[in-house]
Amino acid sequence: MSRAVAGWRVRWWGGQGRRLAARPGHPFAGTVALRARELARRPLVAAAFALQATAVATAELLAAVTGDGLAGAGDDLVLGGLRLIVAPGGLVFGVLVAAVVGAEFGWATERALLARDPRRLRFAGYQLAVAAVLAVAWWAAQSLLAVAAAALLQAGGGIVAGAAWSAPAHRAALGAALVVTLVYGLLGAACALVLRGALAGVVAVGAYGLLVELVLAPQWAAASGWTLHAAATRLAGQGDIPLGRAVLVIMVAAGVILAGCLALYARRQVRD
Amino acid sequence: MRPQPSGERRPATAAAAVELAGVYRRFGRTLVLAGLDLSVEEGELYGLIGPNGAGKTTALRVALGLLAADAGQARLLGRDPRSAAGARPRRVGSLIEAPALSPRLSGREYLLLIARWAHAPEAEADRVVGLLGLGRMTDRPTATYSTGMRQVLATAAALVGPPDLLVLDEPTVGLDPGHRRRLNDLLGDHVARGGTVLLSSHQLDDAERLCTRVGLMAAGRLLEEGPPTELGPAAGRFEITVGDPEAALAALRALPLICWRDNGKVVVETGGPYQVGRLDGSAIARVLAEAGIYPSDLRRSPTLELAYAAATSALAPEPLPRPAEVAW
Repeated sequence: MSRAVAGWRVRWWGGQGRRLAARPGHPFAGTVALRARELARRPLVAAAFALQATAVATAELLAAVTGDGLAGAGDDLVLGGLRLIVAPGGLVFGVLVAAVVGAEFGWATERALLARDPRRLRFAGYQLAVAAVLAVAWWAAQSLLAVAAAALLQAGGGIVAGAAWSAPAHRAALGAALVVTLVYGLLGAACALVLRGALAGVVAVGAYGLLVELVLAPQWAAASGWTLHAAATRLAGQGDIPLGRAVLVIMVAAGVILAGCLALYARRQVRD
Repeated sequence: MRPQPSGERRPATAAAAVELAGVYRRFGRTLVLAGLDLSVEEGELYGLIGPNGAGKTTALRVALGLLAADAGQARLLGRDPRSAAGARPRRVGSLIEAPALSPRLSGREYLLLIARWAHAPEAEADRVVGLLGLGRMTDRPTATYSTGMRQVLATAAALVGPPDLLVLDEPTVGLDPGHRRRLNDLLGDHVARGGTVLLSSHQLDDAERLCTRVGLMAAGRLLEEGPPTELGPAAGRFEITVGDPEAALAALRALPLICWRDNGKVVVETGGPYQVGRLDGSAIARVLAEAGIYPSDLRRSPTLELAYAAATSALAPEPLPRPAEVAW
């Protein structure tokens, strides 16, 4: 027995229970699924996942040991861990996406796919969908690990956090982590698509995230409250900019990145 | 042309599968295509030959819509190749320059990726695996493939669909003789079933044997085109291996035909390209048989090699002046 769920076919096998079969119902979803499978095999992706998870767990451990608190959340290690996933975790993810989407240009698979179907926007949509799948996987894995490690440390160290793991602040941070991961992933994919390469994309995202947002913007008071970083930290419950402005910055950034990327890629000429 | 099973309909007026009309394309200061006119009819196996840097790959890229022409017009299966109109992928398979493979996917997964992208049934992946005899090799990641295996897989990916039009850029590079022969057979079958092939190649013998028409390209333009047997100074020329060349020469000169000895063989010139009433191989054999001469070998001279040399020699740089001619 099977039925289609959001483009995927879910099958039942008697006593073995329900499984999500790796056979998609829609060609586009199938293409994205194959690419996601390919990403799961790449050492770079596994290394980035492990690096970020280790960094978050280590930060939580240090906070538990020193008692200094984490990311402005005091003894609430769950909240602190989730805030780390928002910032700087979002930027780390953006760099990772720029690397994996840009790799497609190095392999020249773009050439084979565009020769079959010249619609540039379909190809860009495919890459953005791959980035979105990776973002959701990143968010789920990192959040689970951060919450689990924090809960274990709090329980093991007898730390009273003052808020249940399902408190509204935690849920808001979890939601912020998903939104920010998606937006930074969009930024990374857009940079790789427009600059047509992994290295160029990584440098662009890194330069923007580190140089523009963290070094240059704070020099100018009027700009410092309008950066992606400022908006992301506010959504996670930190910072002092108005919440409405944070939401506006995130939405405008997503819109500008998406529109700019699609507009520039629509005229793509495949020289390489 | 075969019916379109997927519901995609070709325009009824489409006569040429690929058409480039006065196409110019420049990279920086280098003019790569200089008013290229090229037309490949449906059902043809068209070979594009020419020296390196002639603009063959750029012409194929423009034809596929990967690159835009600076001037001139390109049409692919009756449509602008860069147009996003139409909601479905087109039935075109291609292999341009080096194989484009995802290294962490297995060969079969890569073929599935292409099939899904092209809205083709997944059974197509298995079909092309069987066609090219790839077998269990497709279970391994493509990163572990040799250059030739990568080429074979990329060729297999071009055949997924199956496409109406195949655009292949030097498809036999790196292939072993077995795969090369198999690919040549597949191209012949594709055309026999009503498909169209446009390929660029440096393998003149393959092009001569396979292609219904060949275009000789240099400096971004088409210098000459036609059936391979009608191109260049060797069109209408035969090579005969006989025990007594002098007797054969005497018999052939009686017709009269221009003939001469060349390395123990007798070479016969039956006329220029497209000449009406030109003798063919069977007529020559009959003339020789009437004189009691039975050749051990009688074959048409390779034409493309001489055509290629004749066409490209005009492009060679002018020789340097001798020292005595230099004005000091």
